Amino acid sequence: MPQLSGPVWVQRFPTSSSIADLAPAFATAVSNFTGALRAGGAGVTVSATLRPPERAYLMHYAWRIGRENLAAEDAPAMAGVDIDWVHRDRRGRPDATASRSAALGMVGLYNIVYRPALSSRHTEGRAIDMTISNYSGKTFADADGSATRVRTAAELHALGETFGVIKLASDPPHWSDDGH
Amino acid sequence: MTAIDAVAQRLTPRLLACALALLAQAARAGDDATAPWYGLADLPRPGRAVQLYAPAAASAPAALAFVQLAPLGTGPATVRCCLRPQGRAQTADEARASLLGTDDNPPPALQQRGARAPAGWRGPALALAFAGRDAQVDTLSPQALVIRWPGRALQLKVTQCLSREGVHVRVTPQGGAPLPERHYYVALGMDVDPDCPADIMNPAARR
Repeated sequence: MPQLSGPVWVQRFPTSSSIADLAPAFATAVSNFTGALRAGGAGVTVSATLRPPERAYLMHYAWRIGRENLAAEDAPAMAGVDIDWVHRDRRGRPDATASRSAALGMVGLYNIVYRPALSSRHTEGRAIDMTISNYSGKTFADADGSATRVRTAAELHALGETFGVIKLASDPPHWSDDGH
Repeated sequence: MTAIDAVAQRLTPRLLACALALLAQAARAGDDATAPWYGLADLPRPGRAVQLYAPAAASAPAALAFVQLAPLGTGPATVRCCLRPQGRAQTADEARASLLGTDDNPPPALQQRGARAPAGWRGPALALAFAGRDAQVDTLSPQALVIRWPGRALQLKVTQCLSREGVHVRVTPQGGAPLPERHYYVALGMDVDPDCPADIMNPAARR
């Protein structure tokens, strides 16, 4: 039986920070890259890996209904997310105000201030957010095992590329398997 | 009267006028030698602490006005009062916010500290916080606004855009003494549809 939209949904489908939750090929590439970085003395802190598509769906339609006045009846269903966006009054008629209020409550708990996208490399398990520190001036093994001295961010990005971990320059923490 | 005297006589009033204009400009520049304190404010839902982000050297006053940058409103932006900084500043969490620069022109270190939101505030929101509650704001577009202070030549142009999973906020001082632009990046912890221009989406070099 579907469960009405509201705060209870916000804790479900959490974002992972585990490399093991990434798509297998990318997980291997990331493990090798971060392993090389740590072996060379850099610090690596992972903040996000897989963002479940269910979470993106919930965030997106909570925003659309709560902030953009999408009719709750028009939110499409998603397999595996048994949510009912349509709240009803005592007579069983759709209550747009209650539906919007519940969606806005979710927006607040998710801490959303811009419209969320429905899909991304994160929802596909092909992206990671991580902060890499203390790398400048150190030498790391690239994917072929060659010693590579890294001084700049650009050189760090080139090192990642040898492992198949590509930097998205517009977003400092973000790396993926294709640079998107 | 020699020819030199005649030229000097003609030039003197102009020179005086020039000198006076230069002095007036210098006086205005003196007022604007430093911008008012400003930084980004992350205002989460009620019950969670506001975070202020600003370069390490900046010391925030006790009360800060602020302008909401997101969620975008339907009307012009307004100056609100006040955020009150609390606790000690510490190095900003890079996973959340940073100042952007390049390898050739590295950005200053960013710090964060807590703040108290005004009573009754309902977040979440992203805002620019600044000193001087008498500031006025002109909305240029949903993504651009200008903040100015009565009696000061200096004003701040604020633009924002979205990349894949963050917001870029550029604050450009204008009209006063030359001051560097600050380019903030705030990670949103979710994916969005980007609308940033090419120089932000595909910069030649960045750190």
